[in-house]
Amino acid sequence: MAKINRPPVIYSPSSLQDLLRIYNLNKDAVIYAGGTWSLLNKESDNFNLKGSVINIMTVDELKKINRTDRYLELGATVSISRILELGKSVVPKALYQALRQLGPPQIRNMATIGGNICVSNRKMDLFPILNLHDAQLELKRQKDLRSPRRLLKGDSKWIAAARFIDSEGKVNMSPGEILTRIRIPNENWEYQSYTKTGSLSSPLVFAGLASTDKYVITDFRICFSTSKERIVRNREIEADLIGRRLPLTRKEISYLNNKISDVFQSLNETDFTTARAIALTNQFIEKISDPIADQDNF
Amino acid sequence: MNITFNLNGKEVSVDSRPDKRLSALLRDDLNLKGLRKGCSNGHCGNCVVLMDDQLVSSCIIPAFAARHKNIITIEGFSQTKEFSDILTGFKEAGVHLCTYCAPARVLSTAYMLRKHIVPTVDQINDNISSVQCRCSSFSLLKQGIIQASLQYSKRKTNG
Repeated sequence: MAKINRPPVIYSPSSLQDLLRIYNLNKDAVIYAGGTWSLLNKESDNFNLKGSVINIMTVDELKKINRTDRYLELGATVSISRILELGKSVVPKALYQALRQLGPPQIRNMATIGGNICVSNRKMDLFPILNLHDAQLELKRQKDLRSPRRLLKGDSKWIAAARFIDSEGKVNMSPGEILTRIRIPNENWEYQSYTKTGSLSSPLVFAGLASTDKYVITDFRICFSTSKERIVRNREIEADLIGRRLPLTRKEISYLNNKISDVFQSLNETDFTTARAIALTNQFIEKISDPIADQDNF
Repeated sequence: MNITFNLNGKEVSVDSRPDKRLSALLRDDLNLKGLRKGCSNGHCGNCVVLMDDQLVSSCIIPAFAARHKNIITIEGFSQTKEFSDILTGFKEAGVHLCTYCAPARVLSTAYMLRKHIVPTVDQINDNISSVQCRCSSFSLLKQGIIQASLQYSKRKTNG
């Protein structure tokens, strides 16, 4: 018997309340936002989507940008190009650089920040930076009327970006839950760096933040994301470097390299990835050691 | 599913599968052959259209996402004065684009000029990277875009 290729059922909710209600009823539905990743690698003229699709681009609440003295708050379906339009003075420099590398203008116009965070594979682009900036993510779900928490206002929770994915790289969201807002604290970092190396199949992303005072490192944070979809951040290495005088001595650099090597090898990463991670860290240390050579501090 | 949108200034209604590629819908169902089919992954940029004044790759947009949007293809854009500004600019710089990438290159240049009348080098480089075709050299394209921006700004300032 011929297989019937039914077209998908499309939902276009007009408000967040509607979206949560629809998603609660169709927990297996595909969420459509920018579509720049989920619709790739399909060859025919149809995407052949199955079941239900919820188009969240019609929800205005998810497109809002809010800026206060303490943080920058982005709705999940704010496009990458809209964030870039805010400018370098509003968006943290490393995040700005990461967003600029996300693709050509036509992709940046379509891709959303929430999509980049939630879609597996792509989440590794921004995660190291969101992690270093201690960004918070708001997850919302339909209020369960049978739950003892039903009297509380909405069923939403804020979690740290670092807790959003587990050690195996899986997104920490329950069925029916949706990412609605991303809150990035305003912090003054003297040096910010973002580098993505390698191909799409084996990328290594490095993000670094540092502050110095009279050639002494006062704060230092580095984070990597690897092709195995792992976030690598070692606070012991960071704590070791705080308080050290710049430029670092050869002994200190060698100690740092050994530490990074140990961390990557304990995660069974390849020697090539370890070598790249060490090189990127050394490059960042060089940058903060010689600020005159790097006028933009970037 | 009935999909209604504004195409090149006219209201259009098409009966199509909701998950059909917008590029296929425009090219095959609406016979707009100026739109090219390329990588189908959104990266080559040959299928770009202006959707609500944003440059987008139509090959990765499903038909349902185009509902109630304003879409401009090269056929509609060629009726505007901006089109002749860009063509004059390219001609003055000696840029000869191939017929495959020309529509996309013109639309992406128009999108950039609408946002930045006097684009920076970074913005020009970014614009050139949006369409992947090797028919013209990078430096020639740069000159073409600069000339186009001069034509565009001249017309804007003269009203």
